[in-house]
Amino acid sequence: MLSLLLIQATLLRAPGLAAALVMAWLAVAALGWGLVAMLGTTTTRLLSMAALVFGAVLRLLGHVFEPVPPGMVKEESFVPLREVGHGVNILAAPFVGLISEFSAGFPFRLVLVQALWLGEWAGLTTPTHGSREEHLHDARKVLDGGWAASPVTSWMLRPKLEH
Amino acid sequence: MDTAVAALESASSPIIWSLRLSLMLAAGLHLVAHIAPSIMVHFNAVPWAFQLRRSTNLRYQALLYGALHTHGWARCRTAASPGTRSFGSRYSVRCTRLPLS
Repeated sequence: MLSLLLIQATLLRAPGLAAALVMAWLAVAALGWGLVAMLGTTTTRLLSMAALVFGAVLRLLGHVFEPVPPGMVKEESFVPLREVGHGVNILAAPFVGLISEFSAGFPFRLVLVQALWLGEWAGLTTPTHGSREEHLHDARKVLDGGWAASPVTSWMLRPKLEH
Repeated sequence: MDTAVAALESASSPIIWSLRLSLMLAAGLHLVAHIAPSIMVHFNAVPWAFQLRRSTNLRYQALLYGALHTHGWARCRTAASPGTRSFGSRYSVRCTRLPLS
């Protein structure tokens, strides 16, 4: 797992960020080994499992109050929760959402976004991936106009043609 | 000591069971997100975000993160950078505010 994360870090085409990520993953591994040495394998493993499952539940609860993204209720726009009906997909959302949030917590996804923004705050520039201000500006446009509002996401409107 | 460990393992069996189930279902989610995203979009909205080949497209992942995490909890987790605002000085909580359109 650690090897895969290090390979992914090098595939980011941002040397500074990759170096920071490599250091961070090695530090996380060292922390894990330290916890095993202090608490024992069984306790550390259980604490890690509990953190993973509980983290997914917390992230799911955070999404409960947010607009439903395009594709689930309307094809092209976000829908406020109060306007959402009771379709089968919405009823299934808590179940799928829990698994999605559990998966989103894996180290190869959203942690990278946090690392990118923290890196920018620390002075690491990554022109390839854009700045946090650009990301949030595009996010605002997407929230207002749906996936079509940004070229980064507009292709998601044509899944059957391109994907 | 062995008794304590055995008691801990016994008491935490729901955690172990739920994690194993979650891991299996997460593997299934990734698989379906790869082979049938157009079906998954009705239940997940952004199945493409779970495709491994897009995990290094940080512009895409960051945009999704910003658009799909607008609740206060999520905004507070993305603090420590420009474009933040403070909510009271007592707790020094800094939360991200999306740029106004």
